[in-house]
Amino acid sequence: MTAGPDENREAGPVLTGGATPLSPSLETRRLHLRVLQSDDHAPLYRLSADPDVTFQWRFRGTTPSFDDFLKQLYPGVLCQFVVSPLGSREVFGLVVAYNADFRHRFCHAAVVMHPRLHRRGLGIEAFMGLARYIYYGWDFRMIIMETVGIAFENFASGERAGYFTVEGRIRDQFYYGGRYWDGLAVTHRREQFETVMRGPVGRLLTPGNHVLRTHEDRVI
Amino acid sequence: MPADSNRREVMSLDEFKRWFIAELDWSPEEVSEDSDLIFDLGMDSVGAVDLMVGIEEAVGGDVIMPIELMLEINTLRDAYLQYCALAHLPLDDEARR
Repeated sequence: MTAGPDENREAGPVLTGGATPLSPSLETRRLHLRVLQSDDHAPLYRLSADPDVTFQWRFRGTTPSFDDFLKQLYPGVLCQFVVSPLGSREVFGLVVAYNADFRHRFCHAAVVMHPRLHRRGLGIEAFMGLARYIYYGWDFRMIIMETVGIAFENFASGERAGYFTVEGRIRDQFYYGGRYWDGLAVTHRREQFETVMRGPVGRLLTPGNHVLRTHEDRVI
Repeated sequence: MPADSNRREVMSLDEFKRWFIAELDWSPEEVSEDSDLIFDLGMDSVGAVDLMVGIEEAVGGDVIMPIELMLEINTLRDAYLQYCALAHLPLDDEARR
């Protein structure tokens, strides 16, 4: 028996209650992390080529063919999910866990969101949903993110708030927009996840009461 | 108890400004209604989460801020207007948890 969509949505990685208490939730307060399907490929390809995304994502401004894009979408991936608003298949972005190291118990992760959604908190919500899934399903100690300074500015205050730790910085590693930007290695450790989720931010992964709207969530 | 009955009294714009300054760690001590949250006040994704969580808690009733309302917020005045909208929109009974 499968639990309904409103069951099993709790903040922490350990889920209780409902008909299938061992099922990790892929729903957050506003978003749904869903398995990548073939009809998502074209929207993701367009997103990868968006001028405000491409230099910060894996292709760094290059324009691979659609076939080459697809070939690079899966190798090394532990799990990846399209980010959509609850109740819709619209592609808001992609969250990916990759290069898992099972001996030393860590993996890497990346989040890419449509530029219209930058600095709106939805990337954090999507990442926390991914982190819950990862920490629930694997005994990893940490998630490592490698980022460029210009992208880091979108969530830099999270270090002070205890979301993550900047562990390494390569000065002037990347060129973009007429200047060089630092490359950063950031860790989000299991204990940071659990601490953050116990605070107000834990609300991001909990269900709530939807208000009645007059139109659908269509922003792209 | 119905979630609607847990909603709190709606703040005036002046009260909302005072709430904004007191509630959000990243807020400067003085803000204008026309302050752009990103470009003037430096809000990033984590700051946006603070704001959304704060507004939801200020409205009460465990109400979810819809995405389309979030995307309408650029200035402090916008944040107030969407806070008011959220406080007055009826709950979606079909989507209620």
